[in-house]
Amino acid sequence: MRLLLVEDTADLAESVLRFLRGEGHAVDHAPDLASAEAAMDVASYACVVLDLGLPDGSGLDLLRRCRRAGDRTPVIVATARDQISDRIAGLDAGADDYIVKPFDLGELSARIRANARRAQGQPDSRIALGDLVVDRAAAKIWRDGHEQRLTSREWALFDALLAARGRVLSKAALEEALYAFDDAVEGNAVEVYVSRLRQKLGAGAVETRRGMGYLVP
Amino acid sequence: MTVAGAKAWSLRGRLSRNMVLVVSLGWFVTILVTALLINHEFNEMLDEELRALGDETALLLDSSEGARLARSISVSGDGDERVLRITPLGFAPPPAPWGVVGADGYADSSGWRVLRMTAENATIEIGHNKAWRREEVVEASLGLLVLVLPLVAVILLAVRRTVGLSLAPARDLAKRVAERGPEDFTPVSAKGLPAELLPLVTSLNAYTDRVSHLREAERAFVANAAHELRTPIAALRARLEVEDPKTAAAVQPVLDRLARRIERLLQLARSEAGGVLGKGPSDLLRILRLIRDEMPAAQAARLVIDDHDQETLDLPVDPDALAILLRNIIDNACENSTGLVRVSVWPEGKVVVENPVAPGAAFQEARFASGVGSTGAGLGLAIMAAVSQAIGAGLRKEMVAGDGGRRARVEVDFMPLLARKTASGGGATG
Repeated sequence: MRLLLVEDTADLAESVLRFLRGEGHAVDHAPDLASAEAAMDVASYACVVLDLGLPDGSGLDLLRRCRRAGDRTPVIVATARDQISDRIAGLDAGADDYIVKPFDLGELSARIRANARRAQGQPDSRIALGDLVVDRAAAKIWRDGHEQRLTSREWALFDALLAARGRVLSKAALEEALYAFDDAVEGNAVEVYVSRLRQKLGAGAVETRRGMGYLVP
Repeated sequence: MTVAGAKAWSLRGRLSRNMVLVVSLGWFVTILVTALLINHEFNEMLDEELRALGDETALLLDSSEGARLARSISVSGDGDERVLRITPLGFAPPPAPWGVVGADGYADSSGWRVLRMTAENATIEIGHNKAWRREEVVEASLGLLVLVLPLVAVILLAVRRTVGLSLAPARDLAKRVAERGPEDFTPVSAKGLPAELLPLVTSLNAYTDRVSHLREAERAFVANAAHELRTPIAALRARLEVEDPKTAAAVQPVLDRLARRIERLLQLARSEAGGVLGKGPSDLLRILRLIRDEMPAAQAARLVIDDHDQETLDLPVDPDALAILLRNIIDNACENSTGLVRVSVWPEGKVVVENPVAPGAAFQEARFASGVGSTGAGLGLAIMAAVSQAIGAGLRKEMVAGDGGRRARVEVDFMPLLARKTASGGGATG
């Protein structure tokens, strides 16, 4: 998933980025409101993790602006503000979830997946695809009852195709879901990962629409 | 109105009373002086009357054939008001109500005012009964009093009314100040106030402005303290999770306890500093659900909420205060419970939290004192007490024995707050 982390504390941001990237997500980091707005203008994110106390203003202002502009991107507020009035203000401003620091990175990841699924209209985390069973919350796949080990990039690509199940995703869209702004994009990376997925999950797991892109049927 | 148990005195009452007293005294002195003047003038006038009667009698004696006849004549009344005695030379004086008057002129004798004159070989004595004279003076004075008294009553009423009207700005100011809530730091308007009250309003506004700044500083401090203390813990925890998951798992409970203790210390500071006095409204059930959502999954699974089929329960209270109170009660119950924690919310505004506890468990009232096996900071009860007192909710804690064993029961009574809301006709939205 392509994610945006808006966090001004460098140490915390670095650890969260490493954790989420380790899970295969493409994560952009914005240390302030201005860079967060710039990133959201040019990229489409599956979820935004938003701190409230930022050097150039409150994250709530960004959230309100996004919602007023009709942007429905899931936003998880991650803040040290523990007052219930802050939480209510965040939820009323349009946040989809609220997590108070210090938080468990695994819990943050689970909430990101759950909120992204809800936004995609797929609240159920378990999906059956022929001989495949996918648990999107746990990021696990079983084929004929046997768990298949995917790398984080392979999972990220398959998860992006699952999110748009039945629809063709272009190579560019998949690259956007796989790579953050500062990642080096390899020219044939998508083809390589699709090939590996077919080896592990079966030839029919991912279909190719020549000249258009890929889809999970 | 009472202040510290003593009945406060009324400025209007005191001013009216003093004004009435001063005006009445003034009137009394005026009437007294007037009576004395009347008395003096009356005496002069009656003495003149004696002189005129004497002169007239002497003139009549001069041309009268009976001038050689001694006699005593009552001029008016039954001889007890004015008497004329004529004694020709060589005759014994006829009886009169006064004693012997030795020389011509005015004299006071035996309660009579007497004028003696000598004319045409006769002594003329004319006397006025002094009691009759006094009676005349009193009658004249009373006549004046009868005229003045209704006027005095009217003036007294006018004084009272004028004092009331004059003090209206002070009364209005007192009412406006009394109606302000404890969290209302807006300046008091000085419009229309007299110059005497302006320094008071200026000082009051300066004081509330200072308190407001202090409160804002306190709020900012607590918010910043939460941020400054929680963020490094979050960074440390995240770094450990990424670098060394095994150590992270071992350290995580300690970091969680540290974060919770920081939270409780800040809550205690906030509640004792009066930072929880907002008016709300707050939806108790929404806050309760938010508290459950933010609890760790394992702890939330042990929490059973019975909302008695209510969607909302609005209370006129600061949402953060309500959340601090409920969160501490529930955390305290979860930390010391040996089973499920049941939260019942009654429509009339009562919340009951019950949970089974180990034998010998007791509420630890002392600060920083935790029960055996508890991971709490020992601040929960102090926070509950401070917040419930600040918002005016009733709080009752007890250990009850039942069929299922010993249970801790905490009851929070918000009914006084709901009654206040109903009385003031306030609505709530949550």
